[in-house]
Amino acid sequence: MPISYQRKTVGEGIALTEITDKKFKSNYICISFVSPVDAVNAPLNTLVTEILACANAKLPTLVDVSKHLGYLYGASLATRSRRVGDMQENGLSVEYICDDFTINKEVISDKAVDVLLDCLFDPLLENGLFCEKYVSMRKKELEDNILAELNDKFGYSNRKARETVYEGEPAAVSMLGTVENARSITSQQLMQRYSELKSSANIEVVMCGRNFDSVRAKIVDKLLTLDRVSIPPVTYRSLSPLKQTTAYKHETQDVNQCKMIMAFKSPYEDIYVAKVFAAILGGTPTSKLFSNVREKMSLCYYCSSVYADIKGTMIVSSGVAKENIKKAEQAVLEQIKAVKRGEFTEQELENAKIYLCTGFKSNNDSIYRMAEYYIVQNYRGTAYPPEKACDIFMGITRQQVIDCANTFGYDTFYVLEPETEVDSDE
Amino acid sequence: MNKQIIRSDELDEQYTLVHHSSGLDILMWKKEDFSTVEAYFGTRYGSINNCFKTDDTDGFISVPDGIAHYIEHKLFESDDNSSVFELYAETGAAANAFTSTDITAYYFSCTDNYEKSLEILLDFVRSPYFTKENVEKEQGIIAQEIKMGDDSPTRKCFKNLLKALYVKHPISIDVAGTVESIAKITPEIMYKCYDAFYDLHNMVLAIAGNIDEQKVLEICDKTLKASPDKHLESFFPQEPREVAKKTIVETGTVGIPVFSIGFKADACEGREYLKRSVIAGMLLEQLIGQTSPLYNRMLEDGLINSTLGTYMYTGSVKYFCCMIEGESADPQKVCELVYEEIGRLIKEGIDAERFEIDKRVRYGEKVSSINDVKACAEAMLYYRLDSKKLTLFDDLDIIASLTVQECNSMISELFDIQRSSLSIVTNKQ
Repeated sequence: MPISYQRKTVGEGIALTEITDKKFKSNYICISFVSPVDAVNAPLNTLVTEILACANAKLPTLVDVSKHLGYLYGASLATRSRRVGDMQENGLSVEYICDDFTINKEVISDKAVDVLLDCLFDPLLENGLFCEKYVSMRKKELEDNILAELNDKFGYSNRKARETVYEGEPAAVSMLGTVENARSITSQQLMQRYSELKSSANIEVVMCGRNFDSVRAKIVDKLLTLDRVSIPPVTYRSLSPLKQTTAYKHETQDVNQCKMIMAFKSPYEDIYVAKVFAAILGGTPTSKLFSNVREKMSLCYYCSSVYADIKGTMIVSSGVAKENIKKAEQAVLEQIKAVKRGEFTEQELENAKIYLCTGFKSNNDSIYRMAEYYIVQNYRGTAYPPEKACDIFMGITRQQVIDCANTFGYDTFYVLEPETEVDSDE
Repeated sequence: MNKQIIRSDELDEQYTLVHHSSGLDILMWKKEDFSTVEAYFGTRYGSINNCFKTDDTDGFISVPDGIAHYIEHKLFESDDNSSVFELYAETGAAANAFTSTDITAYYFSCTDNYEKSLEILLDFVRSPYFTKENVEKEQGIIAQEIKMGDDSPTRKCFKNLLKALYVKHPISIDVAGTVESIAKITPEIMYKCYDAFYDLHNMVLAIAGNIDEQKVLEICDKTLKASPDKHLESFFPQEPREVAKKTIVETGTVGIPVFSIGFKADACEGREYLKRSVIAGMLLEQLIGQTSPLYNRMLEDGLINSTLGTYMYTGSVKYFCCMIEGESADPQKVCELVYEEIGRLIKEGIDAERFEIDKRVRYGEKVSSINDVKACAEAMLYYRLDSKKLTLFDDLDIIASLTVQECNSMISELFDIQRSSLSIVTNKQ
């Protein structure tokens, strides 16, 4: 493969991952602060990164930033705020077309990287605090985002289910917080949090694209100017304990279709085996859930399973009519029992493995997916190329899958359902 | 068989168009060093094609709404009761399909053995198997899909906007139809529609990745039989200039109201259509893009948030709209300000500096858009299905030669306030 992968520590708690492949026409660079999730800091982290993306000392308005990026052939600057198990990543990324493909090979890469570094480390300040105009604007937007959580029923049901699945764990904390909290956040708190992130959060730099020779040193030099305290390495994997009895949570809303989410947990070590189990169960269009619960029983429009290795949790999601909820729950449980009993063919096992391999290998073809692939490898403390991960998948045996399936216990049932009563045959 | 190379020297990229003897247009883009192969087999058939005729029909016939989407679901089943997904499972390809207002397409993505996956694709799309039992069985699943769509305020808002903008055009009909309309679908009607719209003369195969073009053609030669052109013709009622409704408001469970503002313009075709699309995109950026005074004023005032987006909703010859959508506590106020800004642009003209910047943005977008195999396959499909007169690289010349004056001259036509509508989904009071 022509892909080159390198990961190295470039400063105290600062790691740089560089993935290059000449077939790409653009470059992607992401710089993230990684810190433990907690209810106080989560919305502050989100807000800090949103404010940083608005302006910087050299481009003092949002319009200036947008125009400058436009001039760089539509380079894009994006915020990145997401939870990874009990940790969170907050940062900015830039994507720009490579100098080889600009008109007359105009050099723009250093300018695009300057925008990223200036926004992150040379913010627009007023009296030592973030510019009030952008603080107010982003606080209002945070409020809007909290209110708008209701607008997306998928996202809403997933967030609400998560609160029960990971109850008492950092992973249950909302990244946005409450409207009241958003309103009460002060500029001083934001500045304090920004300083903490720069000094004591782990910093992950991920570069993926055609070539970074002209910008690598600039990025590292900038990061080395930060005052850093001693920072322990991050441990991402933090298994969620299985509840003693399954938690049931029903929520009503003005919806037409029920969103049913079931969580199963296991301390099983080998995440690749667990992924094959989840794929056989509900990860492919020939999986047990799709072919039986959806196709044969016509119980739902979608029914799939995904394994979150960081938390050791498998989530089964489906869209069901209210009158079919109980039947659908039982049907899902029955399919899991079937895998536990080894009721799957060699062909089903092989199909699941090949399907996973196709997905893994296709990561090679996109700068985002490739960056994301290696970020996730880093969470796992490995640096397997997709081909190596595929070799692992293909070596997994039927007995491993059965053993793995039998370690999963039923943890949570959550459903978002319509307010109105329906006739039920049960 | 007629072969044509379509090339861009600026981007150093090219793809091949072959008019296959079966009647099918085949587009192939060899992307060396890429791992995946993406293939789309599509037809010019969507929810708007609910009245049509061919050489085989006795004049125009009307069919129930949602049938194109219904056929898409049912083509995945075969006469031996097996699923197409089982065949794909052996090659490792990830396969799916979609139906839009004017396109139905079936696709796969794979990293190995693309030849076998291509054979499966060409074979199952050409082998319909509709029975009373399997058609009835699908009604429950599609009804669930319709209900799921109804739970999205954004989708509801968009659907309502189309109903407000269009008086007669079937574009305002939901792609999946309604629970009532799909109940009227029978195997007989499905076969009639299939025979009309899945005629190879009405279809396109687009494939990109590390492919061997000769091998692709050999598979097509082996799998596809030459078929006579049935002279398919869809009927669309004459759409009046004016909109059906200026404002449409619906309630739902939303944390913050969502809105869509649409501007109806006349449909056109060929290079004029492409040029108009480029101009519309640039005018939307001038009007309410991230570098515009209006966007930034409303953002700072908290009237909008950064979910605000713009896009064109277009089909060559058929329809042309410019859309603005987002979230706001006061969508009416947003709409008023948009109308005011249109008035100012008509009077003062667009910002020349931002226009030049936007030309660079569009060039950069074009480079980025061909950075991955899936995007290349999709782009070839969409361009070819939308218009036989256009290629994927035609807009590069249009962007390069476009002037401020040309953009100014189109503002009144593309953003005619009299031909606009506002759709809002707000919370129950």
